[in-house]
Amino acid sequence: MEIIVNGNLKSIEDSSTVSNLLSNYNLNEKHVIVQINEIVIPLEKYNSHIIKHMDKLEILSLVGGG
Amino acid sequence: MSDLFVVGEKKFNSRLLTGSGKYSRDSLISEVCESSKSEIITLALRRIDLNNPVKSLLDYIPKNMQLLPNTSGARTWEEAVKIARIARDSGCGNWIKIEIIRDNKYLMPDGLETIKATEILAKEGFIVLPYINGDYYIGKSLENAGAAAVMPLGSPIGSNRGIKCKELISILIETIKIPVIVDAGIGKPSDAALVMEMGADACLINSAIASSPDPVLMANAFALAIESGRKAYLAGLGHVKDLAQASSPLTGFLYE
Repeated sequence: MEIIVNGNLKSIEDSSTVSNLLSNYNLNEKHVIVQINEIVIPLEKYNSHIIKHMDKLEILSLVGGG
Repeated sequence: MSDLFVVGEKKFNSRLLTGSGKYSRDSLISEVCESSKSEIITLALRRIDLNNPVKSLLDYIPKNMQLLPNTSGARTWEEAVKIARIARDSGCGNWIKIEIIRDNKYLMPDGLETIKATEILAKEGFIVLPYINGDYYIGKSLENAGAAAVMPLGSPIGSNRGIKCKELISILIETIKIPVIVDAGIGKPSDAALVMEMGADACLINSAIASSPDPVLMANAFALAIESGRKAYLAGLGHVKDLAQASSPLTGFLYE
């Protein structure tokens, strides 16, 4: 299936969880903020939240700023 | 003497807010936090670079510091509100620095959009600190909208040009009941001392510390300047006169 991650189309396996996707990108779960269709997914649900076809994901992080 | 800085119903010993941007290495942030004794730090929210993920900034920020995420990148009130909610939902707490900018040259804040975002977020229980131009009506509107403080600019962001908006900041200090935190453009410790002597409640410094060859020492210099300016304000400055007035007695000269 296909999803949109940070504005780009990406193909992933069906029934992938947020955790699956993050490990695909080699991202540490504790270092990112994940939003699916504009709703923030709590860290404790990364393992169970199944991503759906054409979901819009934003993978964000806190960076330096003034 | 107890002189706490109260904002958002929280009390702080330090009147120096620091930023976390522009450091040559992230580990400098924790050293700057320590040398500045700052208790409030700003940070930003961005899309991650999926090809080059970095360590979380939170690893470098002392746990007891108040996080103040900003809405930088927002061009409208709608975008600012969305960023604020993401920051809260991701565990950053309910403090937010509203920054709504559409002008890329001078990075001037859009006051009208800022008022709208503040109204909405304050009603949702956010502690809202808006970055503004030192405009009396915008300041008043933000106070009425439930802002916890106002953050007028000294001069354009990152310019290190100092307090070019001195008179306007002075009017805000005189007329606004919520704290006035001078933000942006403060280039050197004497700029910070100047606004603190005027009665500003606090200063937010990022670029001037981060762009110094020795950010850790500069952070401490700012802390001292802010403390010095605050004490001078509390003590009360002497009167300014046009003509000289001798400090020593004008009688009893030795060779008269």
